[in-house]
Amino acid sequence: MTPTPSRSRTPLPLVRGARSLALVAALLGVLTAAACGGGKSSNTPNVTAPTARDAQVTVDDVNGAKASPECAAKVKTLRIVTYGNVSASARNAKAYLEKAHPGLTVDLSSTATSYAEVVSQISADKAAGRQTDVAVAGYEFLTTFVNDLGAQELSPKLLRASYDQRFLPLGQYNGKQYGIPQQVSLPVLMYNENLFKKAGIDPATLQTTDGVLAAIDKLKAAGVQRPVDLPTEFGYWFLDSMAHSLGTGLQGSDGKPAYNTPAAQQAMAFLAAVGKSGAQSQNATTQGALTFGLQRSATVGATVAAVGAARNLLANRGSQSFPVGVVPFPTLPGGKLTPVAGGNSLVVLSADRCQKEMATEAVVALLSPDVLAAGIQATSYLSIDKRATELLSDFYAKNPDLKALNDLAPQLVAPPAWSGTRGSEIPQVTEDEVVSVVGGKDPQAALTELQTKATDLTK
Amino acid sequence: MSTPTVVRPEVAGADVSPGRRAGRRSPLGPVVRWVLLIIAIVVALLPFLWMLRTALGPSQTAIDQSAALLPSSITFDNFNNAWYGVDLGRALVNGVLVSGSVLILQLFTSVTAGYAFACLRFRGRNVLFVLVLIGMLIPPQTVAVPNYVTISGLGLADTRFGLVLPFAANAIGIFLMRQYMSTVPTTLLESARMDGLGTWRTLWRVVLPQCTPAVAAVATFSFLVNFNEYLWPLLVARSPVNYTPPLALATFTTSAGLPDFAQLSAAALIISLPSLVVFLVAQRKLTAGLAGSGAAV
Repeated sequence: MTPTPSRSRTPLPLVRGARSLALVAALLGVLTAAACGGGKSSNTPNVTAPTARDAQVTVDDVNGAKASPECAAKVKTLRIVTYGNVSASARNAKAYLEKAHPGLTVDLSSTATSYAEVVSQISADKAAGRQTDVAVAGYEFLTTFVNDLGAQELSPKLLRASYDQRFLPLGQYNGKQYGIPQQVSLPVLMYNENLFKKAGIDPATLQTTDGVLAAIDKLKAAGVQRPVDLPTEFGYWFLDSMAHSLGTGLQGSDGKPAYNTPAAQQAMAFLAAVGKSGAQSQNATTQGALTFGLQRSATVGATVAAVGAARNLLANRGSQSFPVGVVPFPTLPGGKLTPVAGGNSLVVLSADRCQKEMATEAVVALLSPDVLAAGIQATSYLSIDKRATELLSDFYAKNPDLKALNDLAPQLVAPPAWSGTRGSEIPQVTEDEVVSVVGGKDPQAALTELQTKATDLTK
Repeated sequence: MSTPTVVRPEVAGADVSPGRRAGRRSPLGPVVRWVLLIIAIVVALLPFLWMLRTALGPSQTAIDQSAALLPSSITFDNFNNAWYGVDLGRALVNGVLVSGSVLILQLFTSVTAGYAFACLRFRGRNVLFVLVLIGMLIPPQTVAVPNYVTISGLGLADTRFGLVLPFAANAIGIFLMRQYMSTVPTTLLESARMDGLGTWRTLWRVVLPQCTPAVAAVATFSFLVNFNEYLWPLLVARSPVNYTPPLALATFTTSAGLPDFAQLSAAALIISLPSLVVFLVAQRKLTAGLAGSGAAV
């Protein structure tokens, strides 16, 4: 057969080969620079993405926390699923457990970057017949852990005397203790004290939504382009906290959606009014906190866990630094401060007696006061342990307002636990509507749609 | 037998008539075109340049208010910290190994299946091809858990092999190869048969050399998609030793505090380079392959 070389081909120019060569050289150059650029250690401080320091783990101070010798000999593997924020603490616990129980391997999975991803990983493992022993459960997923993932009831007797029992209700479901709160946060407003002084605003007026709206006017009059930034990522959280201040949140006492209450209407109207004052961020950290840190917004809605990191970051910025004030997220006018808690509790998922014993020991280890203190130094969650609070005396001396927030423990409420196989979609659906409302959509229409959608999702 | 080639029509911009070309050409046309192109290039490249600037600057200046185009000083600390902080080198090796393995497997399955659908006559061919097309419509998220159950059942969870196996065949790759191979003239196949070539030799020596653009397109897409895959490694790769680049990158983010943007940019720059090299090297063939298969470019 005679070939016919007639297909038109563009001759390869010499420059193409040179370009590929240059690219490969660039790749090798960057990789070499990364791998050899000065050895393993560097003095560049990581002030923005704090990691918990190594901490002292102990379980000897809790009666019955240690696994029995029989179970210690039997259990060879313990599987812990956590997520990025908790992984430093979990590594401490892993090191302790493997040292305390020679022959035990703690299989630590910490690739998840959200509580939803933790649920996905554990669900997939469960479907594949792989048992998870200990997990970090976001409060909003506690129902899923109990109903679908086999969370075991825990005894509060296993807690240290120093554990602040006021937080325990956050880990309860149907009156039983399934989770031990490990990290507790609440929604706050961080504000630029310099800009507030310039505008003549008393931060105490931020206690109510009316006060925030008045502050917006004053800040605008003082020339601040972006007075308040409430990242829509937290829209569901903010909305629920405000609604709770008048009695009931977004979930009625019967467990059904309550987006049609006067409280929800007022809360959504507030978000709409804030939206009219200027652009709102979507992401709370990479957009909201960053914009605030660059002094392009005067106030930002955030989790209390971000306050410590924000202050650390600003302390390293010399002349561009400014003092950061923090107050709890405002209530509706006439409302009572009732923040919806964020964060997670530790749950035990193994039903096998010995696995459960070892898992319980892991939970107690993860709740060691020094481990908790190290975590709070890195990310300023509320302190759930009185001994940890003592260890944090220096930290709280620098951040007295954060210590004061610990006293809100009795007022905290758990986030809604939605029923139905698609109930877990409600926060995202709400967030989507909040985005529309701050973008100009009628808040009443948005709530009507939300009520319908949420009702459908909980069927 | 030497490798034959066939005539294909020019694909893009081929039907510009001489009359149109000669008349009414505005001198402003090229200027407008260049301005638009430059704007598009700036818009496309600015994020990449900013990432480079952030990665090369001190950590604190990553979020500097002045936001100057050039960092106040050049440092490789961020690359160093990113490289060792999350063991990016190992993640990079994993990413290349996994994506490369998937690429080889997908090329084999796409070429052989595409050839069967395009050039061979057998009962149920169309039904099978429709099933392949349906496979393109299934979102990967819906099959992630069933795949994970299978992989775990085989004892391959948390292994590199477990990261590769579910992607050994790819419906889009089969579709692209089938579409491209369908354009190979029947006379060429008949000539090959008359020359005594069997099915396999016809594929490897006659059909495949005609399809290098499609092969390049499938290979490039395969590498890019799998190198940047997040969901499947999130489920399968639990040990740091098996992290792929997107998983390693995700560990820079926290729910409280800001990520270190300088390190994050350095890490993103490092892991984007293999994809960039693959894309730039293959881009010419990629465009031809997509155009020849009838897929949108």
